[in-house]
Amino acid sequence: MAVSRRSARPRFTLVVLIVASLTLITLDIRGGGTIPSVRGRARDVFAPVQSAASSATHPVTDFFNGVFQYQSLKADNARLRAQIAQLEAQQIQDQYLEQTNKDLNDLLKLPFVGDIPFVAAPVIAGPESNFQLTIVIGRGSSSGILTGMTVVAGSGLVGRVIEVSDNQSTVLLLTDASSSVGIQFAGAQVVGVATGQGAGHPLAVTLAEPNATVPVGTGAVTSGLEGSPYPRGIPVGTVSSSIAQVGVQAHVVSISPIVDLGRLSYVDVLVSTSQTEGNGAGGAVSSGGVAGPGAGEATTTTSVPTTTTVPG
Amino acid sequence: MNPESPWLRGAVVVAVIFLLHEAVLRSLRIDGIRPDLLLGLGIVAALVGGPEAGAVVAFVACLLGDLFVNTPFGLSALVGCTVAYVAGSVQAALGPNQRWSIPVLVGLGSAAGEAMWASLGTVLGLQGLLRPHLLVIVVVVSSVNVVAALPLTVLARWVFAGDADQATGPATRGFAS
Repeated sequence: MAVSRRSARPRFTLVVLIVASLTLITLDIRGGGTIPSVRGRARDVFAPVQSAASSATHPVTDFFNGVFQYQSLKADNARLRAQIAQLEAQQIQDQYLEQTNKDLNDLLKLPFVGDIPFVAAPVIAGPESNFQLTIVIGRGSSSGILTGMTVVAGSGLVGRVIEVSDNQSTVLLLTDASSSVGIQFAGAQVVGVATGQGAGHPLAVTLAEPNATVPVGTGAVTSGLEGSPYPRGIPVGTVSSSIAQVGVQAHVVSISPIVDLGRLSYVDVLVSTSQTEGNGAGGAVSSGGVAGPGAGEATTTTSVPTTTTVPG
Repeated sequence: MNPESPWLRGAVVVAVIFLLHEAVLRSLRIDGIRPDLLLGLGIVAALVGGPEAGAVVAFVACLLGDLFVNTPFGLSALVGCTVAYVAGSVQAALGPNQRWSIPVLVGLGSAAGEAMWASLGTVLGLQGLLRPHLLVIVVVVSSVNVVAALPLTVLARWVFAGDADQATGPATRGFAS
């Protein structure tokens, strides 16, 4: 009898724990403010500890990250040197195009994406989970950030805010499998939806017209069509492959994000509660265009940012 | 409270490993994968202290971890307590004197935990979890937990030191002796 009681008790404990877990999962999925609020408070309370520990252990983690990523850093270095040379030449052309674009927008009285106010935020952590591509930024609701806001970095789209606490926010990267963005290709009236394929993979594009042809290297910007959470005209990436499918008149198009999501130090959160505020940014954005915000109000940040390695 | 109480010691160990996991390991990644010491701790606790104690430790540790991710709250706790309980039961069936059992069961348990998490996450509507990249996650998390099994075993033995007689399946002279 004693033996059977002892073997039954662990099972009872397990059943209690499973029921408790399922209850919490159900409460979280069904929504309500309790669990997000508890999570937000826990993050805010723990943020100083994380920050202090991160600063203290930075040399060690940098060392290990360097060891594990030596080959990829070498390749990145070579690639970036080549890119710098290319970008220096392109910068001159872009300055001219940007001015032309702005002049045309002024003539048409259309708001430019760069006119949307933004909050600069340091990236303080990479993905918290191995199964979701997110970053944590050091700005939250106290800085005016709300769930759903668009996040950009210097040259293009990063993702959108999915969770906010007082002093931190979580941003879902556009490479996450659950992330989709409506896009429009530069120089063409072709629109589509780009969906994340995971870290290190290009975005898969579903074209509105499957038989449309989009050349490799074409730039893609957010379309800002009705219902899209993103303002129009933010550079997303360039077409990295466009392969005609055998037997059907359709192309499989992939685009590489214009922002290196793996190395983000600072991002800008577009402080716009309505997507329509950013609509009409003008479609005249060329491949690798410069429609990212740069003229809005900058917020001074006090946190020390770390270049966060994100499997983006 | 008695300072030798396994509950008090367990709380201290969970807090220390949680701090290590959230404050230090969050920026240490291997091929972009973050180690999951909280799951490893739960499994080791089950192997040393028995399935019941291990399931409780895994539940608490993983629930703390769930506070800092944006996936369904309680999913990691569900996976953690189930895997820890199964691992502890296997260990109890094998007997306490198998030196190889702790690292092997920690590795297998961690792999099963990650696969179970991805499967349940998919059932709950999360997208893109069951892909080839899952294999990389499984390998990295399991490998790190196997390496961490030795120090975690030392900590778990300290927790259950005064409770070894009551433990259902203690591996009191196994892996780390």
